[in-house]
Amino acid sequence: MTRNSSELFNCERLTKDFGGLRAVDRVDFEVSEGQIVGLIGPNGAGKTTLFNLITGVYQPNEGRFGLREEDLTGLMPHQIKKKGISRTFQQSRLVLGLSVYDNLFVGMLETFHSGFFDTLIRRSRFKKELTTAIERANQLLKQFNEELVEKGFAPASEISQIDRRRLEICRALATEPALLLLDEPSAGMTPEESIELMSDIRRVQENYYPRLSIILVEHDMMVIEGITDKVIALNYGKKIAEGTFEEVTRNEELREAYLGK
Amino acid sequence: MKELKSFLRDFCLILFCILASCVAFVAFLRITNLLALLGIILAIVAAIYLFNRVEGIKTPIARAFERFRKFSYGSIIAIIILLPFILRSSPYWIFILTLAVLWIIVVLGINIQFGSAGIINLGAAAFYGVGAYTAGMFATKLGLPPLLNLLLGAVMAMVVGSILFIPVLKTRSYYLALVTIAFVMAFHTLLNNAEWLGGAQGIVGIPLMSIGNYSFLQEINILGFKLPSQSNFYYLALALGGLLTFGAVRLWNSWIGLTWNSFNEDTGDELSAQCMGVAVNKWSMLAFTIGNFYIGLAGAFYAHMTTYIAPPDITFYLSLLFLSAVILGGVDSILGVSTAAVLLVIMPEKLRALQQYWVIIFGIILVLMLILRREGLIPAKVRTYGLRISRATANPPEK
Ligand SMILES: Nc1ncnc2c1ncn2[C@@H]1O[C@H](COP(=O)(O)OP(=O)(O)OP(=O)(O)O)[C@@H](O)[C@H]1O
Ligand SMILES: [Mg+2]
Repeated sequence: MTRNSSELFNCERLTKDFGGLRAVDRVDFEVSEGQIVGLIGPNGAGKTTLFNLITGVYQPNEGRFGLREEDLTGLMPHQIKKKGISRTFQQSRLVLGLSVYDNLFVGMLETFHSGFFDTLIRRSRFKKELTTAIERANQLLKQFNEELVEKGFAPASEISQIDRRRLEICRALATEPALLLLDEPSAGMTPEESIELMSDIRRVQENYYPRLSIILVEHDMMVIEGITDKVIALNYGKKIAEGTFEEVTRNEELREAYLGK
Repeated sequence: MKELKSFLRDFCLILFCILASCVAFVAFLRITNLLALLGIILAIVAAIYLFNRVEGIKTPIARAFERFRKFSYGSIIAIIILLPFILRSSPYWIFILTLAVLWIIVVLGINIQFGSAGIINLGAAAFYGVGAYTAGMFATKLGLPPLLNLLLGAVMAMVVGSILFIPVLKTRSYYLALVTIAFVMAFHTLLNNAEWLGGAQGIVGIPLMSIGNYSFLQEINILGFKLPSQSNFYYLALALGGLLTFGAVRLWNSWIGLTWNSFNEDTGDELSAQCMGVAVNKWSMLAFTIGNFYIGLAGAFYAHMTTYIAPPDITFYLSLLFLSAVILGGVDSILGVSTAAVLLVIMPEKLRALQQYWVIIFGIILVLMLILRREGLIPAKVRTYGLRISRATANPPEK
C-alpha cells in the first residue's frame, strides 16, 4: 500500500459497560489518513457500541479517543460531527417521508448559515445556499449512481434498498468528514448487492476522497476482502486481532470466535 | 389556435372550480335546514373523493391550476377578503369566521411544535389562556392599547412555555406531553382560585379591540356596502393570520423546517439527526417557543374580541381539539391543518341541532380518519423550498 501514514484517529483503552456486561473492553487502535479499516466480529462483539462511543452517543466508562491532536472524549454527537466524524447506522435511519434531497441536506445543515432574517424576510441568501446545496447533492449522488440525480425530489421511500444505503453514505459524506464510520452497510443486501456496494465505497473513496479514512463494520469477512487496508477483529468487546486481511483471517482465536471450536 | 383553445379551457376550468367552491361554502354557511345541510356536506365530500380518486378529473384540474397558479391563488385570496361582503346580512357568521382565523393561528403554532418538530403540546389551551389573560390584565389594570397587548400576550406565552420546557429538555416526548397536560390543569385551577386574576368570574370588561382612535364597534362603509362591525375583527385577524401563515410557510420551506423534521420522531429520527450535527435541544426549544407565540397571540386577540375571558374557556378539552385539528388536517401540512381548523370551528356551529352528539360525531370522524386516511385531509407535500418543480426532476433551478 502506498499511502501516507499520517495518523488521523486514535483511541486508547476505550471501555463501555452496560450493567455487568462489558460491551467494549479496553480497545485501542489507530487509523491513518486515507485508510479503509475493516471492523469485524461476530454478533454482539461490540462493533456498534464502539461506533456509538466514537460518535458520542454513549460516553465511555474509561479511555479516550481523538482526531488528529484533538481529544474528543466527552463531546455530544452533534459536536463530534462538526469535528469531522460522520457515520451511518446498521439499521437505515433515513427519513423515508422526506425527499432524497432533504435527506442529503440534513447532512449539510452545519454548512448553512441563513438565519431567521434570511428565511423569513429576505430569501436571497437562502436561495443562494439552496442552489449550492442542490449542486453539491447532485455531485454526491452522481459519485454513487447517476440515476439517483433524477430522483432528487422524490420521497426516499421510493428508491431501492441499495440506493437507500448509498444515499445514507452520501449524507454522511456531504460535509466531507475526515473519518467515516459505516455500520454494516451491507446489512439486508443480497450477496451481489453487498459486493457492488463495497466496490462503490472503495471506488468513491479512491476517486473523490483520497484523504478520507473509513472504518467499515462487517460481520461477513469475505465481503471486505480486497477493499480494506487493515482489519481489526473484536470478540466479546476485546480487540483480538489487527493487521492486513490475510493476517487477520489466519488468526486462530478469530476462527474460533466465528466457527466455534 | 390549439394553444388558445387549451388556454381557454384551462382558464374556464379554474374559474368554474373556484366559483363552485365559493358557492358551496357560502351555501353551506347559509343553509339552516338540517337535511339540506347534510346533503351539501355529502356533496362536498363526494366531490373531494371523486377529485382524489378519478384521474380524469384530477389531472386536468391540477394542470390548469399549475398553469394559472397566480390567478388561482389571487382569486382565492380575493374571495376570502370579500366574504364579509357576501355574508354582510349575517354578522354572526363573520364572527364565527373570525374565530376560525384565530384557530388557524393557534393550529399553525401547534403544527410548528407537533407537526414539524414532533413536540407534543397538550397544553395549547393554557398558552392560549396565558395570551388572553395577559392581554386582559394589561388592558384592564394598566390600560395598555390592544395592539400592544396582542404582542405582550404572545411574548408572555412564549416565556411561560420556555420556562416549562427547560426541565424536560432532556426527555421530551412523553414527559413533555404529561407536563403540558399538568400545566393546563394547574392553570385552570389557578385561574379559578386566584382573586387577582378575577377568580371564577374571570376578567370582564376588557376594552374592545381598537387601533388608535378607530373603534372596532363601528360599521365599515365602503363602496356603498355597509359591513357589520364584526368585519373589523375579521380583517384584523385576517391580516395577522396572513402574516403568520406566510411566516409558517417560509419556515417550513427552509433549512429551519428541515431541521425540525430531521429529529421529529414521527417523520424523522432523533439519534441520526444528532449524529448529523443537529443540536436537537436548541431546535426543539425554538419550535416550542415560536409555536407558543402563535397560540398566545390568538388568545390575546380573543380576549379583545369577546371582552371577556374566564376559566371555563381554558380547558384540557380545548387543548385536545386544537391538537386534533393538526392530526385531522395532516401533520406538518400547513394547508391541511388550516382547513381542519376552519372545519372544527364551523361544523359544531352548523350542527347546533345535533349539539349533544357533536363530541360523539367528532370522535367517530377522528377515528375513521385515523383508520382510513392516516396522513390527514391534505397530507404534507415534499418540500421544494419554493422552487417550482414537477416532481422527480432535479436539475438545479433556472433563475
Ligand atoms: N444500550 C444497550 N444496553 C445494554 N446492552 C447493550 C446495549 N447496546 C448493546 N448492548 C450489548 O452490548 C453487546 C455488544 O453489542 P453491539 O450492538 O455493539 O454488537 P455488534 O458487534 O454491533 O453486533 P451485531 O453484529 O449484531 O450488530 C451485546 O451483548 C449487546 O446486547
Ligand atoms: Mg451492530
